[in-house]
Amino acid sequence: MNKIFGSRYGELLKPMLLALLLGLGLLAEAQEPLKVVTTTTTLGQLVERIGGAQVQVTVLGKGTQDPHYLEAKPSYMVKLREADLVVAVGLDLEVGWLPNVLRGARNPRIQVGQSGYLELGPTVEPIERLEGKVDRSEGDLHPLGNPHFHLAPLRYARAGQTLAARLAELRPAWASNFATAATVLTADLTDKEKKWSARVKATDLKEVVTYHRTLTYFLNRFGLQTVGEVESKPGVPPTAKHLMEIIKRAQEKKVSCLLHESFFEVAPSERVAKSSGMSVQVVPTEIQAVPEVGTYEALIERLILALENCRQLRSKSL
Amino acid sequence: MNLIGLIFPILSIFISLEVAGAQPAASNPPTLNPDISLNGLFWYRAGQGGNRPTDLEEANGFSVQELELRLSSNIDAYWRGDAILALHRHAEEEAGETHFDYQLDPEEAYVESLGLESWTLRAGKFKAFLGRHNRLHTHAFPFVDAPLPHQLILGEEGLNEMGVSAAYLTPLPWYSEVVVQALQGENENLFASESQDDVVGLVLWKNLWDLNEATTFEWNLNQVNGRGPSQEVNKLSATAMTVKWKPTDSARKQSLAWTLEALYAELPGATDNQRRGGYSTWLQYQISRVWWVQLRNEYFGQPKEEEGITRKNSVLVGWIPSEYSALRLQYDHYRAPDSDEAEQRVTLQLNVSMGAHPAHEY
Repeated sequence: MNKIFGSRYGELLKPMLLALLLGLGLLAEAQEPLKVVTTTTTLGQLVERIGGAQVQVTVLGKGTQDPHYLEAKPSYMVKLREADLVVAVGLDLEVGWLPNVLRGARNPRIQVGQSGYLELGPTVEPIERLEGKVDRSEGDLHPLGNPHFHLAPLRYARAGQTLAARLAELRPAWASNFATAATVLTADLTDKEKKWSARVKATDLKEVVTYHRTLTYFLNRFGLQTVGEVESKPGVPPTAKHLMEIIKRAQEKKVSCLLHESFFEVAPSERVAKSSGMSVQVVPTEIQAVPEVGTYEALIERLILALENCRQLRSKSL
Repeated sequence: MNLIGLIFPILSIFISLEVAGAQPAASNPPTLNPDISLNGLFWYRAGQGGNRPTDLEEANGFSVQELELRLSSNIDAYWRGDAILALHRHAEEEAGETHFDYQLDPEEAYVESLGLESWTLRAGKFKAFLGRHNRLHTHAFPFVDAPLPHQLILGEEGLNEMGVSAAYLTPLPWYSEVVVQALQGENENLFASESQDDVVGLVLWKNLWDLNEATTFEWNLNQVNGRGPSQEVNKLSATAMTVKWKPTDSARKQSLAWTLEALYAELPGATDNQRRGGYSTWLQYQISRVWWVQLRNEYFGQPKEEEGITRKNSVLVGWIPSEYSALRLQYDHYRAPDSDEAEQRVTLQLNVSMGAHPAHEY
């Protein structure tokens, strides 16, 4: 070996060997999965489904935590320190904590405006955008639109397509894999949505009551309407007067189903249900909000099941 | 009331109206205006020592504790800027009589780097990174007043100086940050050197560990050295630890935080009390969505000295209906040195926040 490196051939081989090693090093680096951090479990699963083996996903909030009210824990900054991409809902959902975490991470790749930061909410034509003056006396409003788009399956799939495009920017060699995964997800959810729609139709439910406006996208998609929320205003607990009003409205419209999102204290919803004869269904709104909901399909399935339960209970009471 | 004292409250009304109108502008439609917020602190106090007119903090009755106007914005792709103007009431002596007036101070005004790998640089006037409490603005204090050792060692405004700061997030597996600051020492209690060339040096090592998904433990260690009025090098050491618990089940509206903060100063040039120190420890318990109960125990004294000890205990009950308003009732039991009897005081504070205020640190 020493002979070779000492010879003329050796002098030629050295740079070739170095180039080969460098090439192998770059290849190894290129194959390292992208480090992606998401704010919610449901977005975490979307990244896994689109990114496959090319991503390594870390989720900041647990499924049981309301993403509005996470805190800017320094340990989140450590998780973002080496991230290649941060995926958030946006629409001001994480405004109370994520900006501090992004700054504290001191990672230039994931700052707002960089290719390593992606908000999916604004890309799916959010509903309930507010125009004109907005006032905090009306509660915790989201002027840019309702951020809970992920409960409408096809919007979730559409967010997957946006995500695929961003992953392709970061890993061009895998662009077609990401695009294929997004197409498969869209086809899969389109198919499942038809079946879910048929099941909702079969329940014959037209109107429900919810605790918060988390389910608006879901209800819109499946042709249901809400006659009101148990909370007085977004993020503001109900007053006795408001509860009376909701009870009256539910009775007048013969609403049988109260969908209570699991992030909130259930007692006010139970009181309303007891006085109005509605059935309270505590429902998860994020993956892993309850232990048995481990996938996106299980999450939507659980919501459909809640409607079917309401239907069954109404049939029994008639 | 001086001119600023007259103009500012009027201006603040316009600003608050503008702020209310500007809320959507913070996010909808897009705008280049800075985020603007106004924090108002008002209180009613009743205490045994409360009729001493020269000490506003002690004065009984209704008072504006502070108004804080804050403007925050990214300046360009490299810097973020923050300016906090504070309007205080203060006591003024005039012709042998004391009266209260308003005073506008730049509480903080600094720029901070954006987009640097692992580092944050800061320059301007800012609250020094000392322990945990010194960096808080008045509206974010856990109690209505600053901890006893902070008041008696650092003074009314805490350690708040002009200077530069470099904070490095280390690659350790937990949150571990090292901060070095060079400050223009003007704190009259500690670092008011006669020479403007003297610089105060500060080092902070801040660590935070996740004990489990709901609990964190934070531990900070500080050293600050700088020349005092006597040209001797004064030394300030500090440590702070906090345990925070907040369940990961959002339907459970409870939380708990326990903090212990200790300061120790060596002032070789001081005529008396060359070594002084103290601690403040407090527990904050959120019982339900809106109700908080808090307890605080504090001590200030000199090592190995039986005399000159100050003790204070406080209880606070808070009604906090949203992130933007709080009504807090605090009871203090205060025993000053050379005093046979303890003083008692009750404060009812209204704390409100208008406009687009940046999120608080953890």
